[in-house]
Amino acid sequence: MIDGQSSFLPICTFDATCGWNELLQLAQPELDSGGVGRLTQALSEKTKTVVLERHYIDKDYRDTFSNFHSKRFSTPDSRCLRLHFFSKAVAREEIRNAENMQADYLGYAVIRPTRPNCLGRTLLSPKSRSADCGSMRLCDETITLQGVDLKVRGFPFISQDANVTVCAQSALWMLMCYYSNRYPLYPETFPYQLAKLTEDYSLGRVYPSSGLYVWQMTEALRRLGFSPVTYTRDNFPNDFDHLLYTYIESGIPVLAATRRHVVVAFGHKSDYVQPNPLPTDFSFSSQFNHALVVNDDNRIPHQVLRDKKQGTNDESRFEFGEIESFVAPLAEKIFLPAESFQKVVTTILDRGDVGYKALSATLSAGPLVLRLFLTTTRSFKKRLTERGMGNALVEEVYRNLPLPHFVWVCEISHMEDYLRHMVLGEILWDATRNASEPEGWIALHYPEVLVVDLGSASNQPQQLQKYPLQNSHFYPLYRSNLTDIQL
Amino acid sequence: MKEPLEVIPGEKEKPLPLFKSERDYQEFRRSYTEKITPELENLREARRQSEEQSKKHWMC
Repeated sequence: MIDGQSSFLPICTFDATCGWNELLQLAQPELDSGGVGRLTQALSEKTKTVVLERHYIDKDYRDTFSNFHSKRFSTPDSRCLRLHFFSKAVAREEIRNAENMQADYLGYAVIRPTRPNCLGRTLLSPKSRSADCGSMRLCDETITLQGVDLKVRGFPFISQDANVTVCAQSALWMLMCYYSNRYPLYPETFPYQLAKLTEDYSLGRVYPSSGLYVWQMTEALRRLGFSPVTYTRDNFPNDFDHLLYTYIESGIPVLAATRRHVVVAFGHKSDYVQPNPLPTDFSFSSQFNHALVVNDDNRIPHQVLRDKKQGTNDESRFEFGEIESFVAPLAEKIFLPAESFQKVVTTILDRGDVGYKALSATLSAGPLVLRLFLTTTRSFKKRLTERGMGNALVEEVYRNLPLPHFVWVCEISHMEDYLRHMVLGEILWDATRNASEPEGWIALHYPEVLVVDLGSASNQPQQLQKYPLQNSHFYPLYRSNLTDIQL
Repeated sequence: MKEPLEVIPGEKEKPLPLFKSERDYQEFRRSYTEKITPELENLREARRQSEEQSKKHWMC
């Protein structure tokens, strides 16, 4: 049923007489068959109603229109169409009441009058899909529909317009849209601005764009305030997938580049099943990871990029082995990269004087699972009470100790406990340290002992002090960096 | 040096030094640095080469 077909705001409720084909007709001239095909793939399982907001002025499209399209002899329209998706039938009078609609709002997609790709700025909730999407880093937006605020949480998506933007600029846009939505520190950056960011690092014209080198994308991120780090599979043959996972586990979306294409990876899917045979000594939580959650500008939001393709509807056309390099946009104050933290923490755990075999009979009883991630002290401290940290003294010391803004954490667990998402201890390391400085050590927590550097807490030389612990128990692993999407 | 601040206000049992002597602590620092430095150098070089490689990796 279509309500208000000729109005500024038609409402398309799917039933026996109305479906995606009717939406395609109603959404002319902006929406094309390719666009409706992608929307169908992303949304058909849950969507019951689409509200069409005609003559919508989209800031991202207006940016490319003003700086590129308007300079052509034949120009597309300067306005767009915005589609809003709901998981229930929505009557026109209900739109005035956000309380009635919020729970069923699945997000929006701007439809540009551009060809061959009409999908513009899009933010869809992972709940718009029927499949369990895993653990993801997401951001919030509040949009206004006829003066009514509606909230949506997702990861931003945009398709390339094949003129100002190709996959490289689109991936950068998705990343920057996420960061500016989530942190006021980072500026909202429009597509043409992104293209211009690389002009000092380019040979020839910057638009119409034929693409970017990974290095140029890294430079663009640096100019936007990040300290990006680059990894290639060739140079990290053993740890490449593990390092990529570690940054995602840290809540840092990364640019993942295949041979000629780049996507944004912002989540993972892991199956917590005991491996057979059990690893000896210690292994990493990345062993459970079998897929990444990505936004690929040529496809649909929230695709699953698996270690091996399975041919499912939500699947990326790539698999792990095809990712040749990735760029992690680190915040300025994260000086210690993942591979260096892994090296220092495994060196400490292996030592005869402070390693787990020397100081912890509990941990020595079986092979360990280690989970590495970055977090902010603010988030870490916020969750101390609910986690309990296995011992009241540890919780109290962590709460009181001054810590750096960013810390690397290595959670320590036995396999059977980790499969229940429980841990027995952790090592905290100052992310602002150089890896070769032994002073990076903030805390080492085994069930039998807590060692802390009281020196760095007072901006003094290192002073390692130990608190003997009694009656320690396991406690929940840290959850804050990613949102678990359970449908 | 100023009097060290208390981690837990009014704590009855103070934490103990991790190492028994300054010599043990200096030995910890020396052996840690000696072990880790060459391995960190290798990692730094791997990332430098990654950055070099990224200059030729074209996305379109």
